[in-house]
Amino acid sequence: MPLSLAASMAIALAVGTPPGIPSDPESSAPSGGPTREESIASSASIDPAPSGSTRGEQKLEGGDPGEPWYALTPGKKLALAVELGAPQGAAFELVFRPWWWLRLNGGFAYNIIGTGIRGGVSVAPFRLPVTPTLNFDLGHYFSGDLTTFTSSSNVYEEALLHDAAYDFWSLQLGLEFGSRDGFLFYTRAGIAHLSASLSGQDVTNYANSQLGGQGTYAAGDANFSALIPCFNVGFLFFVL
Amino acid sequence: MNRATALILPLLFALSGLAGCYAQVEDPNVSLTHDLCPQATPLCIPGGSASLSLVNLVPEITVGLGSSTLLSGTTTSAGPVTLNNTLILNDAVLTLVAPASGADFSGVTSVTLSAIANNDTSCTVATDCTTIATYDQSTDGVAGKTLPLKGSGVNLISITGGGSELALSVRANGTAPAAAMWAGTVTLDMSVKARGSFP
Repeated sequence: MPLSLAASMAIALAVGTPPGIPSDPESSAPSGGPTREESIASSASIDPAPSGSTRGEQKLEGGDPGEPWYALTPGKKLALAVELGAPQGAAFELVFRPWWWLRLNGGFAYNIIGTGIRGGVSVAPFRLPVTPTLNFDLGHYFSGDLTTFTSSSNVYEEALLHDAAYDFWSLQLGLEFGSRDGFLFYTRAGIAHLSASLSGQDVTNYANSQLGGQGTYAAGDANFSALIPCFNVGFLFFVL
Repeated sequence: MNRATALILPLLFALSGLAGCYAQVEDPNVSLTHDLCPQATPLCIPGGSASLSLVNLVPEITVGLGSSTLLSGTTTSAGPVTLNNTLILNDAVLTLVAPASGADFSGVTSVTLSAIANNDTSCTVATDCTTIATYDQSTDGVAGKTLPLKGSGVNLISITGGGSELALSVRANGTAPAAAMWAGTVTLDMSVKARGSFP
């Protein structure tokens, strides 16, 4: 987990400037040196704010001069994404970028034991050669079969493992490399939460199969949950 | 909330989450019903309105819990994770099944359900008995065909030591059911949980 990156992002966001850009133009710029707007523009390779502008950050957000912040980003807005990671599995998604710093994604997921759907949101608050991102995803895997990976002692245990539907969400920090209007490769790491419910009937059958003597089990639905580290790699290809 | 705050909060949440990684499986509603009489002896428990004074209402009960991995110890290993296992008795119910009429638990004023060790059904050695559920007529009401007992929150796996059987004694005060002989069941309502934290 890139803790130093996290700290850098947190501090930078707290003061409202990207890493490497002076937060106080009055004190950091030498006499006669560049203004804050010029520094930002230089770092971000964009034009400085128009005369009279007091918000250098607005220029960093990439809108045309005079455009409100909510104006849709110029250029390509739709991308295809392919991702591979654990424990979320593989994904094939469509990505929509309404603003340069925000992306929405949704599509199909696959992880050998089953298929599912997933969606999420990514925030890329800086324009740098290597761009840090914050990503939230959630999804649902439909019925899957865990017996692919485990051996079961009897038919009841097999039935218990055969229906492995689960939900997940993940929160990750990422780094992106490449062109924002072409091909982007990324790697992400963070935490993922998994939750699943096991059928009470299946649990009952399994428990009774283990009992072997006098008595009878009756069980309600069992719940599985986990909060675990996760890791993904993938790429985006902007097409429209 | 500005954009910076909206980003910082989930960031901190993600970082703090890494410190609290876990995996857990839980079933809060598992009931185990056990016959008090063997099939060969349909009515096996003496009643006859006998006076009870901390004596066994029923003979010692040996309940099989099964051979599930989660019950094999208070801690078990699953890959790199050490699981802490609990089997908590939420409550228990004694049910008088036979005879169908003329007998109930209305004369029983208090019951103590204990897990016993060393076959010490009379609890002559205090450490041999662990109270896992109780009934008190004054607070729980007069019982009929069923007698509810409140669990005391003991982890039954710590009592069984990972074994697959639980020996129980049911000691009572008051008077036994009126029928000369009766039969019934004991139902243990439990919650089972296995939780592992890592790293």
